[in-house]
Amino acid sequence: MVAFVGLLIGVILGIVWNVDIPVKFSPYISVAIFACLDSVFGALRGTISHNFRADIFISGFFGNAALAVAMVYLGDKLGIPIYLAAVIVFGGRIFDNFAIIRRLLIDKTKSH
Amino acid sequence: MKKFRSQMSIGIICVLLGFMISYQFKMISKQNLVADTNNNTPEIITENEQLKKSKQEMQKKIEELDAKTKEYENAAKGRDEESGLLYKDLEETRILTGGTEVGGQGIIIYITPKSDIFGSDPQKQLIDDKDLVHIVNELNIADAEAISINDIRLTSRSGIRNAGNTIIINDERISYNKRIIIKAIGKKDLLEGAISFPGAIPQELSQACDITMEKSDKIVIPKYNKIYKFEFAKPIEKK
Repeated sequence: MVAFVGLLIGVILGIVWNVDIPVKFSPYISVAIFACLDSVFGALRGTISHNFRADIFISGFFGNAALAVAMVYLGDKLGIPIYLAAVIVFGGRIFDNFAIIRRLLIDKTKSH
Repeated sequence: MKKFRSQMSIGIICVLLGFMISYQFKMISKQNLVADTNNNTPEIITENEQLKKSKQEMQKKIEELDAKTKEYENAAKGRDEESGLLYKDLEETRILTGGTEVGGQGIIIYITPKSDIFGSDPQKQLIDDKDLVHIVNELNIADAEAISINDIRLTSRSGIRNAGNTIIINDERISYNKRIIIKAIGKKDLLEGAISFPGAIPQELSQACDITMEKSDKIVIPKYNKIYKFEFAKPIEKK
């Protein structure tokens, strides 16, 4: 519930607030979003399986984003698209987490 | 208390995530908007047609005026010996500056882009400005007296360069993936020798295009239609 309200506030903030982030940071933000989404899915799974820990979630959120951005930067400098590694790993983990969430939810509804 | 704190942290992080997503969304849609601005092709096409028409009319006018000057010149040169000599001088200068249509022996080079088996990409640049410059340079070395590319006369002040998806020569545009015809007047065997010498035609060009040449005794090269203006270069008088 809190997450949902937060997301809504964030979206509105993003639309209304006209901050100027230079266009060249656009790919960094894209990858960072992906990393954050991964963390959020991880957190969702943790909440459902009752082993959610806020510190792990927060460190994962910022750590993943920072690592992904660093990878984009490094790939930019080296001329190889390393960010693809981040995209594939985070994408794969999102699907993994979603699969586990699904299983947990279905098990829950069946046991009731 | 612990629960509240973790809930709060999740809330804040979700604010951040939402902000990033919506911002990025806005950014990307803005970028697409910029890319969409060149969608008014029909207008450009009609404008192009109109400009072509007015160019033709102006060309006609130029020809009329040229004919008139010719008449005056002919009248003048018959007057005495001095004006006859002057006229001869004038004609030579005109040939040099490309101010008159010239004809004679020489060669014609056809550069025909090879069509790709997989359907040629219209955006792909097959003929480069530098290739043309290179060929023209070779022709000049082989003592070509007049050169034209797609009937655009090259003069001492002509530049050849890529601009967008065309090659600009004397402010006229030619397509870089259609056939280009280079004509040169000079000693035809010498010109042919220069062009068939290995390395005279850049390798990339000969890979991307079929290049054929043809010797001819009757090549006509049109004149350069613009008026030279010398704004900065002034002759220096020596005392």
